[in-house]
Amino acid sequence: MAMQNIYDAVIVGSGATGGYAAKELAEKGMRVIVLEAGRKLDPNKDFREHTWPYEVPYRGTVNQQILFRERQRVQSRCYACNEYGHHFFVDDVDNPYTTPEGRPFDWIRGRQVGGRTITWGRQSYRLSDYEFKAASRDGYGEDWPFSYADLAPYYDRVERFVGISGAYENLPQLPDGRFLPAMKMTCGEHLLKKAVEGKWKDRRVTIGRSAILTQALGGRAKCHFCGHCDRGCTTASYFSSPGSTLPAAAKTGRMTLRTNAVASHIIVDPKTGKAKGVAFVDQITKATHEALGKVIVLCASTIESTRLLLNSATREHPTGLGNSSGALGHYLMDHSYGVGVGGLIPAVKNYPYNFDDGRANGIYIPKFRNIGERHPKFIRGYGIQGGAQRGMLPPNLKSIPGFGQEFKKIVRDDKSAAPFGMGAWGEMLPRFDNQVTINKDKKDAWGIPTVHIDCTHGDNERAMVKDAVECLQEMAQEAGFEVTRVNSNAAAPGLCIHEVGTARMGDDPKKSVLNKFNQSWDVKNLFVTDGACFASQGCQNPTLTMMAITVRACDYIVEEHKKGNL
Amino acid sequence: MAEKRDEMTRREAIKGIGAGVGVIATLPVLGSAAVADEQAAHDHVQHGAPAAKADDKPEPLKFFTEDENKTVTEMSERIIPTDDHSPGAKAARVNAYIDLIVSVSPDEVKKSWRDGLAAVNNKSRDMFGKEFAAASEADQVKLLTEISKNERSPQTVEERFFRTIKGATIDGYYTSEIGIKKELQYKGNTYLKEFVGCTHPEHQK
Repeated sequence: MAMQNIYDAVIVGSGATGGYAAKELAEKGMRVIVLEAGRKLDPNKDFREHTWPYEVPYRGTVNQQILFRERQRVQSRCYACNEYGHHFFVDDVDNPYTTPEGRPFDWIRGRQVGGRTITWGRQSYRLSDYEFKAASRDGYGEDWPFSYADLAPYYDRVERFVGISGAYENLPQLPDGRFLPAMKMTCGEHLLKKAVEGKWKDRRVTIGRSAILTQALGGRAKCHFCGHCDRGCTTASYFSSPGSTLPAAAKTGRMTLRTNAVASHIIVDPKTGKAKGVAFVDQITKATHEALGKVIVLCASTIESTRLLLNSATREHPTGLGNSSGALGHYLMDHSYGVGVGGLIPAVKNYPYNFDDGRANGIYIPKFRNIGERHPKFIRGYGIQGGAQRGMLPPNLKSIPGFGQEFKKIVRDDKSAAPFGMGAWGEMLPRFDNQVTINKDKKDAWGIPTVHIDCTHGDNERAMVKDAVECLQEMAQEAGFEVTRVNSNAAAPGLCIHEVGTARMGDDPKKSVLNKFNQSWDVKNLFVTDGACFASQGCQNPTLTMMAITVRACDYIVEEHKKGNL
Repeated sequence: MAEKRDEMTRREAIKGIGAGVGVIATLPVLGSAAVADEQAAHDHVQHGAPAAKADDKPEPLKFFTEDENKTVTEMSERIIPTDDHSPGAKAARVNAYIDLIVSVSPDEVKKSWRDGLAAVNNKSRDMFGKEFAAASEADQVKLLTEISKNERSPQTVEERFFRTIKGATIDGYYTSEIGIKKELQYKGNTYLKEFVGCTHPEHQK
């Protein structure tokens, strides 16, 4: 029998960070295997961005939480787990987890080649030293082990390859990137910008910075503005790993992509103390296998990577692999989400339909709290996302009275006020009590012990949400918008799908799981480069930062690999 | 026309793409099993939903009786009728859509439909001596006019049911091909060359 292949690196996960790690390591000469728990998608069948409502059975009109309650009870809480795209989300029955009574955490997952880059929101913002050095500013938590200047060149690299459209604003709290041309604003968004920037000098309304191409890039076509990115993109115009990083890795001839490989634990060589591979279960045959490598890079997603480490406990690492600090599993964060305002824009009436709903992007108001003077009620801040886009039907359709030809004509000729919506994405503080642990006796469909997630919002988040709702209302009013709905209650943590932390980076091995290059303090050939590494959260959408951190870590891995240090 | 200038064909949109659908489809993988098995593993998440049918044969009813279906068909057609502009709810088979969505609804919703249809037919017998579906178009309109009087704050079973069936008719009609393409003549969900956004100086200055 032939010796088993030993790869230069085993990468767990094929999403935003796994795809990037594969590209970077393979392009620099390393032979890599990528383990993906799910299947490969068939864009011709699975991507449905141009599907019409009458081409799906329930026309998207039945509450998806009722429609998918049997096997996707949790996943269907995410807006994108609908009739068009619920096949991009996991089966909750096969992939269970637990939460304490009364403390829900909605863990939204995608297991397929590309992971959640198929369904992600594409908003891409740099963090700044307001985030990387937040602890030094306000005394809470820990600084990151590097500064913005250290990461900036890697943001540059990622943005140039991924393609981020956006406008230059020159703001210290939201550094500009290498942008493709900005998308245009709609009528209502211009009105908001004019009003908000006129009234508040510290608030800026900019077009969303989005991983959607406004120019062709690297063989990918520019966006054709159909408006349904979360259903897949047959022209690969928004960033997904199977549309860009994975093909780049495949082109080197040095990447092996193993699908249906559900990683169960990391194999540690007791003689050297180093990781020597990853054990996995085939999701179809349920047979167990091993992928061996000189370096292990975990990119399985925040909670899955930590679950792998916790499930890899050994005699030397009794509380989980690489957990000499005791920080593993702790400091879980997710943005406060779901709070916002909505309504109508009376000034935008009597204009014909202008394809507004084809732009799958909105506006962004960067964090303005705790930039200058300190807010009396809370530390850190929130960013605001929103939009004002007229769609196919009048926003008040269901409240138009009457019936018959007259009713039909009112709907057809509608040029009523455009709708708007704005919400706040708030930073969650890293707290030790917000944590992931292992249910030893409760296993998933592949026999792998599941996680118990205990995570709640704290007083700082609640104070921030209250302020955000007040500010949203006053900004909408300043713009002359009619506010018809206000939601002041944040969704359960998890639903924002910006979960980060649980294997944080740091300068102190007693307080952190990873060093400044995402390397385990305890197992030197083991790296975690996904969201698990975050030391604090910021209020920005995290994926761009995860990818930049991955590229930086990969540069280090390549150097150390060459030197024989791993 | 603006839409002609801004639109492009699908062929244009995907022309010359290196890393689009083709690359994703051909990304080499080392799998354990044949593609058919991968599909099978995936299909068990795709439960319940039958594929939308393209042919003209009506589906067998899933919830309503034949008589109830007739009442639903006539009521929906009076709510969104055929006019000079486009065909109405009946042609768009809104009744089949309603039958399907009620069939997957909770029991109390199913009951409200059954009770509502019975109440409408009772009222129709009182007013015209025949069931709703057998009444003249003018009489049907007369009855609907009466039960839609208190649309904002319905009091009776019939009044509440008017809101229910009107809502379902709106959902079914404006998501049908006739509703979207012929009635609304919706131009979106297409391939645009550019996203134009606001073109009005009065909004920007």
